[in-house]
Order: sequence, then structure tokens, then C-alpha cells
Amino acid sequence: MTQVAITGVGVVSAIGCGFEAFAEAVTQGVSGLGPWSHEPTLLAAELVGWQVNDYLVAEKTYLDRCSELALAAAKLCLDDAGLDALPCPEERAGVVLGTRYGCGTTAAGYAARVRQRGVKFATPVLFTHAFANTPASLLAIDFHLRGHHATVTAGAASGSLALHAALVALACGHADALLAGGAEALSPELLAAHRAEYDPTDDPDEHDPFATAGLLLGEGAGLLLLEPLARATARGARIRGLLDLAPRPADLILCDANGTAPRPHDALCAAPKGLYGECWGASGALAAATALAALATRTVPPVRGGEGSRESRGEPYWYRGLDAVRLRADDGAGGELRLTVSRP
Amino acid sequence: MNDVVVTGLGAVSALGCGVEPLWRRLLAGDSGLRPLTRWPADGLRNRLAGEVDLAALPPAEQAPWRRFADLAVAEALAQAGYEPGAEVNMAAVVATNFGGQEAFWAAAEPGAAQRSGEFHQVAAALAAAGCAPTVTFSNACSSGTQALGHAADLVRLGLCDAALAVGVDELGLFCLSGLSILHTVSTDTIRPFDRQRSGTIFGEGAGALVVENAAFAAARGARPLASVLGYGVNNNAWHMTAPDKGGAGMVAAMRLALAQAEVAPQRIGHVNAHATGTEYHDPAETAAIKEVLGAHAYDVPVSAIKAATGHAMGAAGALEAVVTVLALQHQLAPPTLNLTDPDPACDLDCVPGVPRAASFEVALSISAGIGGNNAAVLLGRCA
Repeated sequence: MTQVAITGVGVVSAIGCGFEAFAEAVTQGVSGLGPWSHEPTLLAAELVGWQVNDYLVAEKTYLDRCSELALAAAKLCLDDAGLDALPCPEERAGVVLGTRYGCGTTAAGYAARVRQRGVKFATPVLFTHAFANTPASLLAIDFHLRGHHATVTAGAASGSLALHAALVALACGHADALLAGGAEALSPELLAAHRAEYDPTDDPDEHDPFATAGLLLGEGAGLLLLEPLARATARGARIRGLLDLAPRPADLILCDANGTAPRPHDALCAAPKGLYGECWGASGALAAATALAALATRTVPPVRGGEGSRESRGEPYWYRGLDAVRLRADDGAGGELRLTVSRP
Repeated sequence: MNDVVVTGLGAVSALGCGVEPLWRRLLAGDSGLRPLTRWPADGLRNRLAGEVDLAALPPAEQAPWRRFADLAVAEALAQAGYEPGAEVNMAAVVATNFGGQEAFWAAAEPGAAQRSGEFHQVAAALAAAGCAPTVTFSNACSSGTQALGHAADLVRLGLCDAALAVGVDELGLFCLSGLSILHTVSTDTIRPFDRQRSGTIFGEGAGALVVENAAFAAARGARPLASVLGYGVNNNAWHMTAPDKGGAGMVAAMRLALAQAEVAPQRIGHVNAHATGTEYHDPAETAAIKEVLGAHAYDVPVSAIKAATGHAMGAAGALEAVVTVLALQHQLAPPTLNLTDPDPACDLDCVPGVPRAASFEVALSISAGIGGNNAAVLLGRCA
């Protein structure tokens, strides 16, 4: 497989926007969780008071929140890389975006409008902004990404599978540079649909995953600028880390745990979703950003009350030998994608 | 990298359940378009659709799109020679544009009793059956071609021995109302490349292909039906709904496929066009094919099957890949229905009315979708 460098990171999350702010927060164990504004009995990592216009060159007529998050993360990613555009011809620049629900809030509103008022009340603007691939298309338009293009909608594994798909595309020579990661918004409409999907009454032994002790919802976006290592080196890019699929030893495992899964007992591990919430499509890139932060400071992120190993509880844990971090990511089939972030 | 071959095909479409009725009726010039039966068509631009006859499918409790996918996958696996539950290192790549969304958003409404359906439900079912990894793409109407291309890439890189590529979609008021209001739907019927064309007619169904490492397939005695030579997927980066001028995005997607395949454009002997029958798409696609193939474009028989199947959205690319494999096998270019008054702006050798015998070793299938997505896959003949 082609060695792939991470040369830029864009993060929008409840614990910080921009890689530096996010890295500082995640390595210090800052929690973004709080009562959700729409349903205060639920804990959620919500972006409060966040405005997309702070990140856009020009104001948009309409954007779903998922698109807003993705556009902001792309801008932050390029800022982090010190670039105005991806470092290759537009036809070789692309995007692979993971999202579980896509523009679900808009889709729900559009569907309700048609169902309740009739087909003649369908609106082109809402419909066009209701597709799962709308955020990726808007990224392509705004950032001139005329090359490889994909939206991954693989449920809870969308984020990690988007990174996987990007690595496959680069290895097959489909692109020279990709924005890869994901975005996920949080809204009452999405929660309602999610609750309908995962009806707890299906299994009377299973507790309500939306009780405060269970799933910790979040929202945000993460995008990595990925390039073949040889190209990144040749242009003198600052390389934040390497991303690969090889089954290699790791010094730290970042669990995919979101409050509902047992932690592994056999490794140094941390569960950063306890800080920034379960952001589904964004989770893969947020985990990668966490790994980069951990590698840069050789610090295991602490998660108070979380599910990490002993060393990840309480204070930040400094570990000299921290050179590679495995993202414990679902492969969509109950297995594990062996995504590893390592020092350059 | 590994060579990749197709060893199994499956299809559910408006032309019937299975690959056999799809190919037979396509060659016979039958159309599966008919007035909608599952919803009132009030307010839609057209009552016609490429609706799958659910009564003709084996009974099942699942939502239609899940049934389409299950049947297509079962057919493809059977042709490839895989028994249910066979232990094989097989991935699954699913593509859908709207699959499950109708029910999903209905479930979000207060008091809704209907259970929802996420995009990845088909992939989740394939995961439960042992496929890994599984992934779902939603790249609008280019999704099906992307599924095939990505599945082939997984095999090419040795990340699995075999992979299922599935494109599936289901008609519903969610998509029909929106596509109708965007004026992509014809008020008449779909007439690809025709001067009188006024839009497309949407359909539904599923296409499934089993792709394998050629050496792995040969070792287990599987018969290769075609080679997957290369694919490309990209975005116009121009407009959410309008095609880019001259089809530049489609040109680039085709060139990506040719580059991966390391095939010269002059070797392409048949094109399955996306050809939605809309005013702007067909000339743009024509221009794109001419840009890539040069003067050779006029020597290549071009087929467009959507007047027979309807535009099956996320399933279209996979269904049309199935048809393109069959075209390679039988050395026949399928007919383009309703093409009676060719548009001078669409001046390629579009095959009207009846199938045409031809000799070709490499075929190209093109897809495009809302949001500016394009995809192209090159398939090669296996002796």
C-alpha cells in the first residue's frame, strides 16, 4: 500500500475548532458534554453558538448543518496545511466524506412537508440540500475538488470507512490529494429517526441507549488532508503523521467506544468520545486528530469517567514510547479496520 | 496489483426479477415503464415509472429496496458458485441514493409507527452474512458504478479475495417529488438522444456483481464473465444540479478509468451511456464521449437502456454494468428505445430500436448524478 501522509487537519467539535484548539483540549481531557439544548435530560457534546459564516468566503442561501460543519472543517484543514487549495491539479484533488445521516435535518423537513402538504409543496432548494452527498458536493464546488469523490454512509462506521476508502483510492492512484473524514450534525429530527431505528423495546434486556448513562451524542466534523508520502515530502510539506492500513503494533489504542461498549483489557487505550461525543461520520477523523495530538505531545488523552485503561483516567498520562496509535474502528461488519496513525 | 474479474451477476429491475428477463426483454425492445401503482401520482410531472412488480417477487417482510438487494445478491452469488454461508474473504460495497430514506424520515415524524431504514442496512445484512469489510456509498445516481469500481479496487489491492458490488434504490414520494420539482422528469416518456426528449423517467431495482481476484477465481474453477479494467469517479465542482458545459467532468471520469486500466481510448468498442434523456445531459455526454474517443467515437455503438428500465438512480450504474458485461459476452449492443428522431447534437452511433451485433473487447459504462458526480468503468471481454 502507498504510504500516506497527513499534511493538514481540520476539526470542528464541541471541545475546540481548529486542530490546535482541539489538540489542547483533547490531551487535557476537556469535556464538551453538557445538557443538550433540545432535550436537557440528555448529555450531548453540542456546538453552542457556532456560526458557519465565520468560515465561509461568501454567505450561502441555504445550508444543512451537516454541510456547514463539513465546509468549516475543510477551511480549517487547508488553514492548518498553510494552503489556499489542495496541492495538486484540481482534477487530481478530491474528497471522501463519511456521514451517517447526511443532511438529515433538511431531509426530515422536506419529507414532512411533502407528506403533510402534498407533492406540489416540494421545494427544490430543500430537496437539493437533502442528499447524503450534498456536503461532499458543496466541498467540491467551494474548494475546486474536481477529482476523486465519494460519500460514505456506512452507519456508525461511516467515519472510519471514509478514511479507509480514501487510503484505497490513493493506493490505486485515483488522486494525488484528498480531503478525507466526515461530518455529522445533531438535531431533534435525527434523534427521533435514530430512536425509531434502534427501538430499545426490541430487546427487553437492553437499556435505553439514549439514557444519560449510555450513548453520548455529539456533533462535528473532521477532515484530514491526505497525500502520498512521496508527494508530500517532495513539496516540503509539514507532515503531521502517517495513516495506514497495515496491521502493525501500536502503543495506544483509541477505542471506538461511545458509552455502550466494554473496553479492551489488553492494551493502553483511551476513549476520546467521552470528551467530544459520538459524532458518527466525523468520528474517524476526530479519532485521527486525537491520535495526532497524542503523538505530538506523547500524551494519552484522559477521559474522566470514561472507558479507557487505567492510565487514561484522571490526569493526562505522558508516555515516552508513544509512536503509533491504532484507531479501533468498526469495519462495518463487527470486525476491526486496522487504521494506524504514526509519527512521520 | 491483482487482475479483477466478474464471476456473478444479479438483477432486479422493472423488466423483471433476474438477469435473464432483464437481458431478454431489453433485446426484445420491451419497456418496463408503467403508471405508478404504489403511490398516488398527484402533483408529479409524470405517472410513469420503472416500478418493480413487487407481486412478482418472492414474499418477504422487508422493505422493497432490501428485497431487491437480497434477490440480486443471491443471484450473483449463485452464478459465481458461492453457496450460502460459504467461508470466503469477501467484502461488500453497496451503493444507494435514497434506499430506506422514505421510511427513515417518516419515522422521525411525531407519532410515527413506521420503523426506519438507514442507508447501510443492506451492507449490515451482508456483514451479518460474513462479508468484511462492508461499506456503503451514496454518490447520487453515480453510486452504482462507484460500488463496482471500489469493490474492484479492494480486490486489486489484495484486501480481499472477492467482493460484492451492489447498487440498489427504491422509488418513493421523497425522491419522486424532488426529482419532479427539479424538472428532470419527462412529461412524456424518456427518449435518450432524441430531438423530442423532455426528461427522464425514474425507476428502481438492484444490480449485483461478484468481482474476484482473477487468480483466485481461476483456482476455484469459477468462470470469468468479464474483466474490471479500471474506473474513475469525480465531481464537476460546478453546480449542484446543472451539468457542466461540454461534460468536462465526465471527460475526466472516463480518463481516470482509462488511466487505471492503461487502455487506449481507441480500444473501446461499446459504450453504455448514462443518457437520462434530459435536455442538457445527453448533448453534454455526447460531447464528453467525443472528447475522449476522438474520431473513433463515431465508430462505437452507444446504447442507453433507461427507456427500458427507467433511471434506477443508485442502482442504475450497477444494473448497467450487468448489462455491459452481458453485451461483452454476447457481442451485442442493446437497443435504445424511443430513439426515433436523433438529435443532431447527439450525433454518435446510438443504437436505436433493435440490438446490434458488434465485435468489441472493451466496453465503457458511464454514470452521473445530482451534485455533479460522475463515474465511469471499463470492462473487458473474457474469452
